Amino acid sequence: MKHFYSIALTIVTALAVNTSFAETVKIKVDGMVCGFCAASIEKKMRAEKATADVYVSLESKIVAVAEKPGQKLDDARLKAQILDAGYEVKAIERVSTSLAEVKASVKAKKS
Amino acid sequence: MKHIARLIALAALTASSAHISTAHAGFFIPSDVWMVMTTYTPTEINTDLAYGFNRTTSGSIGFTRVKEAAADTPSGNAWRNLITLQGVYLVKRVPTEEGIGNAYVFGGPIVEKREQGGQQKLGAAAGIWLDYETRRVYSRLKVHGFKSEGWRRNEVVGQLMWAPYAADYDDIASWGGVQLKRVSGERQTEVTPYLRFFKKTWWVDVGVSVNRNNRNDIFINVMHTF
Repeated sequence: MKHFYSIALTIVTALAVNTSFAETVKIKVDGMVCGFCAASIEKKMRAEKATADVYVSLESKIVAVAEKPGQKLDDARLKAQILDAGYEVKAIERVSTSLAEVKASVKAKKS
Repeated sequence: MKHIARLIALAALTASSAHISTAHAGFFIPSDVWMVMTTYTPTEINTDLAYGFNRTTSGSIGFTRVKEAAADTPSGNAWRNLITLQGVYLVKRVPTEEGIGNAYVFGGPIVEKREQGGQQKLGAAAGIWLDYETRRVYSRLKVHGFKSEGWRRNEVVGQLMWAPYAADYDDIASWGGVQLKRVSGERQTEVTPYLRFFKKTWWVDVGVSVNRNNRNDIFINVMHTF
């Protein structure tokens, strides 16, 4: 029974660690008007080691980057990477929602 | 260092090319992005490989084959092959709420040779490229000059395009528009209505010339970034 509690505690702790650090970074980008612009930004975001997935919306002018569980993206580095791609960052915010939820929210606003 | 290595690789690729060719896209490639593009018309065939070194500078190599009027051949035409090693510099970028405007200068050395009895010659090419685009409108103007000993070619190309809907990144973007192209030594401005489709890293233009000299000449341009 003691083993069961310690295993359960380990699993719960691991899950808590994973979910608490898995944030999505939402970046508002100016000048991103075509797929060609967006593809270059997406490539740079995917090249980051802590990136789990990327979603780009030209309509909302946002680039959303999901962090890998337990890893953290550096906001200043993301900003520098977008600047290096040739575009300007208007704002960066961190949200605790998943990338899928961010995507659903953007698509809901469009329709 | 990585950029220098890639530049050397590009130069080596140019030097090792068996053909005589030129890159004449004048097209800016975003940082750390490769682009391969090929264009076909009955009077011009072009293939470019380009790489973006940083936010203001990109480079390309390519092969171009152009058909020119020639008084000394039975057909009245001659083909000329060119290789260009080209640098593109972003002079000014103006991002706005609705779109983005860019001004570029580009240029570099060329090697050219006329297929019918010509000699291989070194020369240079240079130009300017201005564009402005929103999600529904695209416009650009390119002025491009080529020069080698005893040969000169100037081109002015204008494009105006319109998208019937504002496509998002996951959608296939569809555009319709017209390209006007004037080449030195030709009496007519080539008018080519065309369609453009692109999705993420693939881009296709298809058009047909409508003016008298080039009527029904098909125009195809395919581009891929990686």
